[in-house]
Amino acid sequence: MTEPPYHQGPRPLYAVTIHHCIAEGDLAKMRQLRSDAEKHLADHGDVAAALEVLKTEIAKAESKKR
Amino acid sequence: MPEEPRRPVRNLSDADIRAFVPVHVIWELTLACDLKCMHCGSRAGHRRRTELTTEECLEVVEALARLGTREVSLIGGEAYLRRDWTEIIRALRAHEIYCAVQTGGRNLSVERLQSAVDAGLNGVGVSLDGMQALHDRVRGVQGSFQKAVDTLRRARAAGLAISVNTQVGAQTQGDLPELMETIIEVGATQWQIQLTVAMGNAVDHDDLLLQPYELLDLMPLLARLYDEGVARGLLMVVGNNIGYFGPYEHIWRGFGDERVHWSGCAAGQTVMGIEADGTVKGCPSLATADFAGGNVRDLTLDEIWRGSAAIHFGRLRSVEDLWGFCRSCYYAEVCRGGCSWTSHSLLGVPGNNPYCHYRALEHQRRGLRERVAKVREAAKTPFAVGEFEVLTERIADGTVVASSTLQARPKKHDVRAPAPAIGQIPPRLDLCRACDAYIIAGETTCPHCGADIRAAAAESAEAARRRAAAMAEVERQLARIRSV
Repeated sequence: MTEPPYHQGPRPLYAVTIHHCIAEGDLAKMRQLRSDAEKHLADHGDVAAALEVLKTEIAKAESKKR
Repeated sequence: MPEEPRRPVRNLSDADIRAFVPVHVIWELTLACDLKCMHCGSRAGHRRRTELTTEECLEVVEALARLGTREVSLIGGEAYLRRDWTEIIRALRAHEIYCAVQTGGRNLSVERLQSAVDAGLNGVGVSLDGMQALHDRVRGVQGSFQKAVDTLRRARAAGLAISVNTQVGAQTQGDLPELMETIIEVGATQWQIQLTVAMGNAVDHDDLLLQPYELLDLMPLLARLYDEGVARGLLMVVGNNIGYFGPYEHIWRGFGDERVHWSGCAAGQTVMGIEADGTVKGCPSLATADFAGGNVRDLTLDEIWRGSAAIHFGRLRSVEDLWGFCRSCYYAEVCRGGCSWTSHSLLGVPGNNPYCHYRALEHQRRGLRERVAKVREAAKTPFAVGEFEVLTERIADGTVVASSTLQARPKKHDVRAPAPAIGQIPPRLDLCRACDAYIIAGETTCPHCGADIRAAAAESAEAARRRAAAMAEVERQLARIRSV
């Protein structure tokens, strides 16, 4: 996560929205990693155990959000 | 094709805030429009009688560059209905100012779009207010939905950044899930959500306005769509009038960066609006009658920006300017009543904003809800406001227990008061890790859930450590696989 030397820009309502903003935070990164890992899983079973741990953490983070 | 920035140029540094740099400018190039939107605040349609000439527009571009502007949103009406719009884009891009156009997309033809791309246009935002039936009805033109979608596709094919803005009103919620599918399918990567505001044509068609208590249904839906969107490459951007400090604030305001939260209206501080006749405001949406800071034909843009009290209202505002519920709200000092445009358009004075999730939840907790009712129509001029009343009623039987018309309103600022020379960095709130509500720094017990702040923070830190370890292990194994 970027240290904030910056503040998020304003979002006026008649304007074009903020282009090039991206999702931040652990949950977004974990989901991206899960996606990357699953792509490799079919050929490389040795990532499976670590992926399961990651999925558990995603589930915990998601349940805390709600 | 212009080089893509690595992160939003609209992000603000402390220096931007302290120096009141108008980082983001929204410029209505013309009020001419090819749509007939039932909610249009500026009542666009015909061009203004005295719109700026090309030469005057190019002078504005030079003035913006001198003031340090980094992004300009071109709006209308429809900006492309000005013949010289590509000349203005080219001038902005010559100063490396990020330039995007917000459009209904009805007649942004292949040729018009290509000429804008050739001039250096960076991005296109298209307005979609629902699926076809709702969008076409609200936008007043049959077929406008399909034209808008076609414009998105063409803009993407041309290599531009593309996004969608959606106004949410009383009839929109049911369309949102399907609309998100459409937006993902066309390849847009940002989707701004904003509430329809009681201005101009929307006052005439007040049945389009969401009732404040309907936020209780809308916000959980938006949170679900936000989450689904992130997983599928579409980032929902909650606009300035989607507020404030409710249970989803820590998720969406900073796109997952929980340190980011709503920090007050930026009008006249890092945002500027320019109308097609050269009138300058602190925000493009604000009512012209009360917030016009001057005209570039009479004063230089720098003089207006630095010296106009109507521009500076946001720089002077404090809790003293709040009233009604907002005045005694826990978040008053940071929030300052949310979007000035929304509350001013509704009640004639900013600082009391019923369109707030935290407020709706607090009322619900007390068995109450708020709704708005029209008291006075708006004039037929651009950016005209009417008058509404906020009624607080018991959920159980509908008995009205309070009305905004009976509440004390703040005194107007002394217009002779000088604006501060240096902008204030907005305060940062902490997050209670037990309930995920924002709290004022230094709290030891959460005022919302009663949790021990330090204990909850320690537990959260341990969860973060586990997440980091899990990610590191998967990354390590993936790196090993990739290196084989």
